[in-house]
Amino acid sequence: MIKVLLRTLISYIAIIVSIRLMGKRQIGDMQPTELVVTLLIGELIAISLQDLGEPILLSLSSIFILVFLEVAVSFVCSKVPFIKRLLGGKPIVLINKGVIDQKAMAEVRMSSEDLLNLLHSFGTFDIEDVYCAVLEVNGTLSVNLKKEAQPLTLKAPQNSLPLLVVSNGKLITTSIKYLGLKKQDFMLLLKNKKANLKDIYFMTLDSGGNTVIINKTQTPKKENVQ
Amino acid sequence: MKHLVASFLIFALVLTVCFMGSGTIVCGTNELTQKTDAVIQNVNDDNYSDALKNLNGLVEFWDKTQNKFIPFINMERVDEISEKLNSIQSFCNKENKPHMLAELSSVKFLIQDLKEAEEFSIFSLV
Repeated sequence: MIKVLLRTLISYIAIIVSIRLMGKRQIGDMQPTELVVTLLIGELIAISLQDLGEPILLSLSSIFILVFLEVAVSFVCSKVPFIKRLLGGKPIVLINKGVIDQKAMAEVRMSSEDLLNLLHSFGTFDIEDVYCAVLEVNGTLSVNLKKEAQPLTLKAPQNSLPLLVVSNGKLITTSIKYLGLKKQDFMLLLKNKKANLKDIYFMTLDSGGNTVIINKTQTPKKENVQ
Repeated sequence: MKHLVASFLIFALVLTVCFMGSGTIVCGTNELTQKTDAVIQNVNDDNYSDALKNLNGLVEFWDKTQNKFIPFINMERVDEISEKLNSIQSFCNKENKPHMLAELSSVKFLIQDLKEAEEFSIFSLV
């Protein structure tokens, strides 16, 4: 009985340490790899708790190897966007400028009912109100409502969702292309803002030219070019 | 970054323990196999006094070694070998050659199985 108590205590500590090492996130915010590792940790702990003949060291070894791999992969993902896209996938635009992208819907194997259900949970009951909807990597839907459907009357023109264009000093060319810009145009935009690509930690840009720039180790500044 | 360093340190510790455990099992099983072979030879020669002496040496060595094996292998496998060694001692006292040889072969197989599980090969991976 004392063995059970001690094994449970060790398992509990191992779970706490591994979750802390992986970083705090809720299930819905997890990347696919994080979800898999979390589920595997649960399974491994269950084995050592159920089978007292099985050495707990084997479960703990497997858990910490998985945790290290997860932390290392997420570190590499933060440095190499290609690996991040490869392992985590990329956000998919399901509704673009008010039109459902049926090809994208087929790609994510989502039916129109599923899309409507997701929009309902967002508080949108009329699909006509949606200007843009993006299925994020973690499975959640981000919705940008049309100007007339938004609770506040905006004087600004309808803009696309702000897209991440620079991440940790690296240009995300797919976002630039999506916004209909060329690399030279974007570099000119950066020059106008007196920003250096290498110094930018995070930058978003929408079709209206609105940007949010966070330089490395600096608080965000919001600007509008118009 | 500090999470990466911390997890790497734990990973390095885990790797060290795994390699140490693997080394302990391989060395221990090699010696156990030699001792078992010696007992088998004694029984084949009908030399039961030497067989009993070597068997006692084998049991003594197993008692010491099994404590080192326990953190790395399933307890049931350890118990299985201990059980077989106990029955071999009884058979040796009664000079029951066929049963002794059968049980000694089983012990040798179980010990080699432990070693094979630790040794790296493509077949042990799958």
